[in-house]
Amino acid sequence: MIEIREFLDVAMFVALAIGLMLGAPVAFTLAGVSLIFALLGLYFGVFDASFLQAIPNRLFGTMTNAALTAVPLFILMGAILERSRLAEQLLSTMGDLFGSMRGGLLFSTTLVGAVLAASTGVVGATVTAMGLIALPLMLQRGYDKGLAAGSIAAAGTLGQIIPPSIVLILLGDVIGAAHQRAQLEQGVASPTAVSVGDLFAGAIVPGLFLVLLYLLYQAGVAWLKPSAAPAGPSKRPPWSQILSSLAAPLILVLSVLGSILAGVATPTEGAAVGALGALMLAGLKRDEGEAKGLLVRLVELGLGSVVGLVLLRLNFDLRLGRPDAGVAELAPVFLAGLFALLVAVGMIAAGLRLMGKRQLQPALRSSVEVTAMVFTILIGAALFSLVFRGLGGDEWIEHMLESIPGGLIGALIMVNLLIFVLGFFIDFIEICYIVIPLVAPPLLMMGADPIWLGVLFAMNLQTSFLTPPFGFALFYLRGVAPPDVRTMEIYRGVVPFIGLQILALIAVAVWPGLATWLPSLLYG
Amino acid sequence: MDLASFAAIAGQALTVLGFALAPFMALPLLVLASGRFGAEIALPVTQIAEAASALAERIAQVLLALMTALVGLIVVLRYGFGVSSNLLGEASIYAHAFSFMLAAAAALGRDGHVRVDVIYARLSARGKAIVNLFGYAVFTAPMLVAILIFSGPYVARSWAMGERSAESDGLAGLFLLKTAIPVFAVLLLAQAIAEACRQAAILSGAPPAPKRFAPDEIAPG
Repeated sequence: MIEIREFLDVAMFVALAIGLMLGAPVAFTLAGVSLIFALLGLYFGVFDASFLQAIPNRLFGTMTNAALTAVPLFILMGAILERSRLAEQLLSTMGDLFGSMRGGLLFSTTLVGAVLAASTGVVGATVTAMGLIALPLMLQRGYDKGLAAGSIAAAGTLGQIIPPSIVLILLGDVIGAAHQRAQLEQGVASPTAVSVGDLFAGAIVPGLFLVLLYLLYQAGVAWLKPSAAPAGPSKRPPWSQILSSLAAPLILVLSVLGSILAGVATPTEGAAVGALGALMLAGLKRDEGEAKGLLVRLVELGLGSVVGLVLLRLNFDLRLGRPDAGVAELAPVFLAGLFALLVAVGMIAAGLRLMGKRQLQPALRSSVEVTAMVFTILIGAALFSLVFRGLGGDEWIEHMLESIPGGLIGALIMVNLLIFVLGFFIDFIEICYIVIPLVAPPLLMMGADPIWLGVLFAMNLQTSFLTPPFGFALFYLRGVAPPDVRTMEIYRGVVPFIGLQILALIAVAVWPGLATWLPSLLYG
Repeated sequence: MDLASFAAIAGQALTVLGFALAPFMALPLLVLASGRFGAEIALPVTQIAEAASALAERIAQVLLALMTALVGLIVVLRYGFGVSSNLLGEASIYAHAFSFMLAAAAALGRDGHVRVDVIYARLSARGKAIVNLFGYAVFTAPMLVAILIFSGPYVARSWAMGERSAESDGLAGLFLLKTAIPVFAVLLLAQAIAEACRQAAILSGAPPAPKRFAPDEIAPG
């Protein structure tokens, strides 16, 4: 009997693995397995019932976690960009621009993927848009099917490493908590905090590095094997079209990412600005031959007022509640109030327009559903970690990591291998909330830099989007790809890109400066 | 009547109601055992549960839109006019929390909760039904019942003291936010019963209740 008691935590992990493989929804499996083992633990007297009483408090903690409120907003932003087809417009313009070069459509896929990645953090939207537009075009021009499919799936996953991204938000939350725990256990006198913003800053250079690797690889293939990526007819779009299709995503990138990185806005605030900005830009978009109605003009006025508001803010002191202020000082405040009102009117107009086109409600519906799915997993994972810790599982993991030869480096290699392999079977949310909370504190106590560790995990998790059979990016691409692109061709096509992602992961592991340089520059 | 005594009475009434409704959790078993007879009983239960899920989903959508607007307002007020308010910040978190807690049931109806489908995707309809019924009986129902049991005293305490925000300018209704936990569990349990009855009907050959929710093409992350 002693044996069972001692190995209950290990058995719990094994039972979870088996339970997950059955295929019942992950969130419920996590919670159900935890409850079974909590009862077993109570029976064998190795589990304290007070852990179970902490359940509602844990749920409440998940509900009110302020850092995680950015998640639904970024999902909504991605959904609006997808439904309103803003991404498609950018892609077709870029395709025209680079199409006459050998491999040009590959480059445009990667670049558009990077731009979309920097404005929102959602893989599905990018892959779907590019699979619908770029893939048929590439096939029509005789591009190698695997290469084309791989490039699209890989470009979509950039959304997870280039901030803002859902993976980085979740990781920021988990690593931040792990960092606190590690410092607490080590008795650090003046503990430091790691935020989502730190991870955003840390992931930029590695993300751009990955874009460069993709482009180099695609250029190499196009040069060595021209038949795989032939040049197309020259169809240079006019500058006005290039600028207008680039304008929307670039404005979003600058306002969302810029404000977060500058430390002005929290990720949640940046995400809301992004979602509302995407709403207005989508409201501006007219179908061909559609007259410019009142609503479009109101949206234009609203966007103009945003500019006016920003200019006023930069030039005047607009703070309210200064009783000593005279008329001359209050005038700009009133003007700013007017602008703010017009912005609100513009947003409502944009919302009405999207409702009329039946784009807003589906965007809200799928956002709410994805958010509910993500947070139900977080609830299940909270129960799991509660019981697992209650059974002493965290100590077991800690001892195991410490006993790996090679210290921090050996443990890091093992953990990364584990995450990579798990990525074939389960997706990033589960890895993020089941595995990382357990392995991160010991790694941090062994001396790993939290930002560096977070970026390494983010890059590793990115591969889980591409690894067959159930990478999300593959799943979306399969959904929109024409049937003559066989699933095996998609799998074959992503293999080189998984290799590039691993290469970038190793580069960041060897040169931590790639991840830590920008955060230290920005935040000291 | 003050809040505390009202809450005490309401809590007792809900507990009685909860015990009275508990046998419904075994409804899938009845469908499994008796086929058509069970399916006839399950039909109205399924319809009521899914109507509740659908209503909650609509509220969740409105709350997401509201939350987006609230955070937008916070941004304009803080960076534009130098005004910051705990009230607005808390309101946005309330909207977010209620939104996903209310939408979880409909997400189940749309089969939106991710699974590890390495094996599941290759199963026949019967195989999937067995996995789903097993998941319902061993994972989902116990999880939600446990959440209900443990959150009862937690929420009751909050109502009894009319718990409000720790911030002086925060929202007064913290006890309402905590109430989202049992609401989440009840909605999800009702939807889970409806789904399980449908799966049981597949196995027993009875006509399954028509689906209310269409699966949505979703983009996690």
